[in-house]
Amino acid sequence: MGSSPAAEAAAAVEELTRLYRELPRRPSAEEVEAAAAAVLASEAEAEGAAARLARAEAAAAEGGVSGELLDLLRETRANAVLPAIGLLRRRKEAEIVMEVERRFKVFDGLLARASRVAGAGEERVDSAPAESVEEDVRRTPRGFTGGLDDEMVLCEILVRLPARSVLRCRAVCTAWRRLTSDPAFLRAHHHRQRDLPLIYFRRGGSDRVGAIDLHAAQLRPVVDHTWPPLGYTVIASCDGLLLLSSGRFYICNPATNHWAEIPQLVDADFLGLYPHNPSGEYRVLYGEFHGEEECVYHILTLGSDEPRCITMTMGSETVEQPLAREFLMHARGDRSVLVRGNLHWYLRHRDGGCKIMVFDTASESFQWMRHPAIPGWVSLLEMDSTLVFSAVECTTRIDLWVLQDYERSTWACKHRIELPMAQIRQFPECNLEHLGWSAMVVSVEGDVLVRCSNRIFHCDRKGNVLASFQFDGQLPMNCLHRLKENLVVHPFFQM
Amino acid sequence: MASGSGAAAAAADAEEKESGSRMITLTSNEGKAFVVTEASARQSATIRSMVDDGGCVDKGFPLPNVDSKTLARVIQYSDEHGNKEPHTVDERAALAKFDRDFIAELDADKAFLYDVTMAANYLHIQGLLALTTQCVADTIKGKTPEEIRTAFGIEYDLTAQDEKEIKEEDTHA
Repeated sequence: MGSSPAAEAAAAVEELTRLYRELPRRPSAEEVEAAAAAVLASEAEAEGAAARLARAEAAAAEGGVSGELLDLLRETRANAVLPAIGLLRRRKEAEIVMEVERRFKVFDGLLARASRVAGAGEERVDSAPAESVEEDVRRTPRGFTGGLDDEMVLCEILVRLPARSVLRCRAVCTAWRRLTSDPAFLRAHHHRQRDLPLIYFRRGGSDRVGAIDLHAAQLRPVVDHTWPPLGYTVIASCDGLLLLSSGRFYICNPATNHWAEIPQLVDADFLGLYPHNPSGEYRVLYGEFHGEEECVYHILTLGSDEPRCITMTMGSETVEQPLAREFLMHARGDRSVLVRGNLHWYLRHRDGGCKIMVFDTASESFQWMRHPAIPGWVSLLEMDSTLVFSAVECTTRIDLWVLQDYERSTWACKHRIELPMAQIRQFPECNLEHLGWSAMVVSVEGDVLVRCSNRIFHCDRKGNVLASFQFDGQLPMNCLHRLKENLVVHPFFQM
Repeated sequence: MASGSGAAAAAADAEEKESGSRMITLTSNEGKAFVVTEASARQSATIRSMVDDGGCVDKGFPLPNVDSKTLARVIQYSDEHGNKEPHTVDERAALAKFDRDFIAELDADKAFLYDVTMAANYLHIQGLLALTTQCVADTIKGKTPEEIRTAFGIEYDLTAQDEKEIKEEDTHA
């Protein structure tokens, strides 16, 4: 059973096509033209240079120039080899371009002939392969799709896109869809995102949350009017998830626009949201007062309906009710800060020393952490995986204190930033002396957001105003939370 | 005069010793040889590991995946980043400006930009790869899927099932 001559011809064409594809990128007509010109020019230049030197030497010898000068001339001539090498290199390059073009031409002829031969016996190949192949090569130059066919390079590119663009990439083609849905890719994407400070504001009669991209000087919408409840506040932010409260409680991922209600938190006092290690679950810690004397603490895993009751312990000791109640009283409605798998509360109303309450999410026990007295109006925040205090020290200065050693609780003042209040007062509506302002350090580099009137200013650590964002109507508010976009899909949204 | 050039040579020698910089030959897939400083070549993690493994420094490194035009451009980057270590604010600003100009020029010739991206990936030049992939990402940003397919010559191959899922995702997002 020999294969038909037509099939063999088709195979030959296929082989030719394959070889054609393996050629390096075909030079453009301009490149070929330039190469031919370069070869000609290099020939003329080399000839000219050699002739000039020979003439000069001959003339010098004839004119009775001293031996020393003649030596110098010879040396010059020898050194002329150096530019000649450059010339040679350019010429070689030009010759390669011409050679590549020559081979393409040979292939053009071969393919045209092959298609004629094959076409005579078989209808299937009668669309001239020479043209179709060349078309193909021209439309998608080597390296063009080449770069994007390589999954590693494609990943390196797509991981740099904002979440919204990544979602759009899922509708491009199968390969892009697979890559941009891959959990490992999504985790890498999340890690690369910046932690953006969130701002509350009101527009068109509804509450909004926006994120300030400090590098792009841009306000990005995070939660907008498409979502029904009014008067909500962000009460926690963790791994790209926001916990919102408007009387009812919702967990949401603004990047994927996934929402789920957490009914258990109604009538409870929320304390913290955290990822649990090693289960990878997201959990909520909250408390409830039972009558005048008692309070209980609960842990709820997102996606489950059954909260679990825990006993408040410090070390191995059970915490007595008065203290348990006192802590819940002070910590409820206060932000907790997640660092090293522990939740932290800075209890500003508490007397008796400067202490932070710590909840170890693995052992589910509490403990105190001491810290030095930090002057000013302070807020406890997380930056670069450590605890920091943003402290408004006096009317024109803000400090950033960083926890350097978690175990020993050593803190250092990393930035002392003079705020450009005089400059800020020059903005319209910010020029009244009695207007209050608030400020917060938002990065370890010492970026500061200052709110004054209906504007938010971004200043650097040297006190330069880098950007100003204007809000209409109600005053904007720094909501003290930050958001790092995350496209990883969580099962608790699918319930 | 002779002593002058001798001193210059000695200084160059000392400089070479100081920076530990030998010259290294990189050969493109067209057989073209490029001689670069070791500091420049070390921008590439691929070459760095070969040099540190006591590889064939004297024989040079053939780069079968990189053509001359691309290699020349890659070397332009690695020379700038390898041979000059920025110390002052001004020097850092100059290097940042070099990067901006470098990528602006590449951005104008997309096919070449991908060649350089592929070479940066193959040679593991992190800074250059970050620069070029960010540039490609910036062109994708804000484009619709259809525009992306056109820009990159990608064939539409999504199944009916994919399309259904995409519609569902859209109502979410």
